[in-house]
Amino acid sequence: MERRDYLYFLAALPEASPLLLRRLLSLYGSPEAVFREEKLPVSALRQEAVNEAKKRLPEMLEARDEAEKAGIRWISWEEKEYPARLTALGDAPLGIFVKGKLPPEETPSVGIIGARSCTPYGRMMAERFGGELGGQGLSVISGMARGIDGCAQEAALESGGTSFAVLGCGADVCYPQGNRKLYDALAEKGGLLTEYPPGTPPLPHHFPLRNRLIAALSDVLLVIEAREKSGSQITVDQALEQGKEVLALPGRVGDALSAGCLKLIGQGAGILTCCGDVYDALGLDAARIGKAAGPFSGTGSPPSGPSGSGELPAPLKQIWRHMGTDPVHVEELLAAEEDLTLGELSLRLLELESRGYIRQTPGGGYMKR
Amino acid sequence: MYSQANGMALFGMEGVPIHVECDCSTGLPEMSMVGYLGAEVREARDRVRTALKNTGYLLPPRRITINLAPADIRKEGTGFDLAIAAALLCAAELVDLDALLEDTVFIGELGLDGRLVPVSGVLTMVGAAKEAGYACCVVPAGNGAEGALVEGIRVIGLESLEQLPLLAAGKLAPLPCRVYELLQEENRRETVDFAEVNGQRALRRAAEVAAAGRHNLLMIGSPGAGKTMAARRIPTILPRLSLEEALEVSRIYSICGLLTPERPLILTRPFRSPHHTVSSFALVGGGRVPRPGEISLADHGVLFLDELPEFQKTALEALRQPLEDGEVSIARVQGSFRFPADVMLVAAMNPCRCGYFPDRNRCRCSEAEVENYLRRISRPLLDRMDLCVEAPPLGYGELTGKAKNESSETIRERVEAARERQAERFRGTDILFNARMTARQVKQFCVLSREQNEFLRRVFEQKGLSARAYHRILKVARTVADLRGADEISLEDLAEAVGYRTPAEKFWR
Repeated sequence: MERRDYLYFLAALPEASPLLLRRLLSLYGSPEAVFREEKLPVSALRQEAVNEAKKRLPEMLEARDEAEKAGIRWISWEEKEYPARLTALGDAPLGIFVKGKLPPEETPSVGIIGARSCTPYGRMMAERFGGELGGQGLSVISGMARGIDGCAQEAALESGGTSFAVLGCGADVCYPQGNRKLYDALAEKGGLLTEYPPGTPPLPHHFPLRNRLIAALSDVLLVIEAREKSGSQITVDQALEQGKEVLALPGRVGDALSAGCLKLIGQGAGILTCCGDVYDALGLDAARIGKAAGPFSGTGSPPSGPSGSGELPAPLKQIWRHMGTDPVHVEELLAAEEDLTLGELSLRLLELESRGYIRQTPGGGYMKR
Repeated sequence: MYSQANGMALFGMEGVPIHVECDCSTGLPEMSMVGYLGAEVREARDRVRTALKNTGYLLPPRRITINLAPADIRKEGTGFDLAIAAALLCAAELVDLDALLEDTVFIGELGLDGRLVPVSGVLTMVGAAKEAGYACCVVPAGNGAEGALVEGIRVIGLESLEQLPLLAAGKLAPLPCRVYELLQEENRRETVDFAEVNGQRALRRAAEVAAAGRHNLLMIGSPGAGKTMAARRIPTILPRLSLEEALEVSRIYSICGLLTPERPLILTRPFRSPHHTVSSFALVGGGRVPRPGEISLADHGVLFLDELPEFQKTALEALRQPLEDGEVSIARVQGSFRFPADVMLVAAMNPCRCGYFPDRNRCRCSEAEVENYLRRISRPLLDRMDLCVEAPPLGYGELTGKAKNESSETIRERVEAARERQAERFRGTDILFNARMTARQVKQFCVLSREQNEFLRRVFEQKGLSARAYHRILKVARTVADLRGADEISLEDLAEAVGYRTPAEKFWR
């Protein structure tokens, strides 16, 4: 057995905290010494678990090699590939499992996080920022959760960028199930990272720990939408502890899902109004990036869909002017445009939608794309 | 002595003549009843004997045998009491009813004091008596009004057994047939009107389209959006019931004992709103002796299922076949029972368990929870809902708005015109409404231009609609065009129809 195998044994110990492992390593000098020690300075219960694991060591190594064949690599912190962003972490994992690629060290990375149950506004903004920043070649880091996380990553991949998800389960487990497509796309075009061995189920207490890795891998952290008390807060705390800049997207006062962001802004977080804010936070040359980008990005204006309505025919413009970042229900449109029949309105909405100006939201509303 | 009176048994929607034979012969005093009787019919022995005694007839101390023929049909219900009493009185030679017995059917339950108690199904039984060629029906006075709806047969309402001598003497006048009198306008007035629904233009429009093509309608919206209110008013915009329809509906209500002397004929379209705890039997009908369920009570009207996802799965699935066939058929050893169930299904539901999705300030349901809630409705049932609308919560201004809304009468005129166009189109086929079109008829009657086909193809790709949506959209578009009075389907009609389909496609991908 090599040193790496003993290290793997320690890393794969169920529910062992990286802090404890680090202490043990410095106490005994090498992973092999820790492995050989029959009475570790830990609780009897944990010692029992370690003894159990020792018996299963061959199986564990076999499982690791098998996962390797399935494309899930394990990278110990002693290897060169191990992300430098993680080494700065006080409780960095002894090794991480990767399916796909690792975030490139030289590329700036941006974490985009937010609520799972988000509003159409949050969804739209997550897609805009994910798409635009990803399209500019930045690595988009998130947790592949429902809502903001998934939307931002999907958009990043769609715009030809790369994205990396840190999971709270084994890299071979797709959680949530509904994000299967995103999971496959990430494995192909980006990467899935986790500190948990293959097959680990997504247990609730994994996620706060996973959040610290999201914070560590991101050079700057964007909070799109969050309730006042939420998991995003944990990631933010971690990021601040690690000295990262946090930008929060402002929303309306009184909206439950903007309360968290507004509170962050009040506490001194940066305000996120456009991609320029992100470039500034990263110390990038905003003007240069802005020039290279498509027609809608830039430094001063918020990212937006087709902003010019000049080329729209009058009947469509009539509807377009009601559209905003909040969904407008068909009923409200009918009330505002009393002369229109439902058929005429539906036709114009379909037309605007197929031209990529608007989108339909759950509940029968329409908003800017 | 022997005598025979006629009674009537009820099997599903049919009446079957029953002969009640009575024989008084020498032997130990006893009264026995035979003829494959249900428990409640067997109990008639005590009811009849006591009722006769209390009316003042003294039964002779002889051996009395009563037989209900044909003896191979199981007899249920309490409607045989009067026929048994009549046969018994004649056999005991206490009242001379001989002149009547031959061509008269006796229907009614007896109280111990000799009064006649109303029974259910009188309308159906009197109708069957007429069909069977009888000339006269004697029914409880409480059922007189509904019995008298049948033309071509004398119907006499009897208060109590004390009136029997009068009946024998021919001194009781038959009830006049009031069916045309009841059809008068003032009896058909609705108690609610669509003008009371404020705002919700899209919802009102969807209700109109659904009514015009007899499409099933699903409304999704937060509590208080006015879903129930709108549903309650859909019967008021459907075309008026024809006399045949009214009689069919009334027959079902008669079987369930829901006709009152004040309202013997159902003249307005039924609106049935069973609670979501309803069992599948109560919903579609059933039981050992099959009885009509809510879906049959809503025949020619609206069956409204509020809180659709809360209904038992089995109950909803049981609806599928009747919705397709327009009738319920229940098989029993005695035979198959059929109840009409030609309904327009209107359903309402909240968008999620708490009811406020997508308002994130009030709703904290996760997307998975929302999806699970919606998925409780099976795809096959959903596919029977041609129209699907999302109703937003109403603002205060809309609630108190003084805006003049269209009345049900105005909408009904348009619906009736659209129905006429459909009747014209489907002349010679066995369907009446656009909603019932088969795939072939859709191809025949919903012709699209090349431009429209191109438009629809684009929309399908853009919205990711399923193939099943295609026919539904065309059928609804046909109805929308009919409402406009147009022969050709326009782009606007198609767009509107697509709008009615997208919520369903979006939620149940």
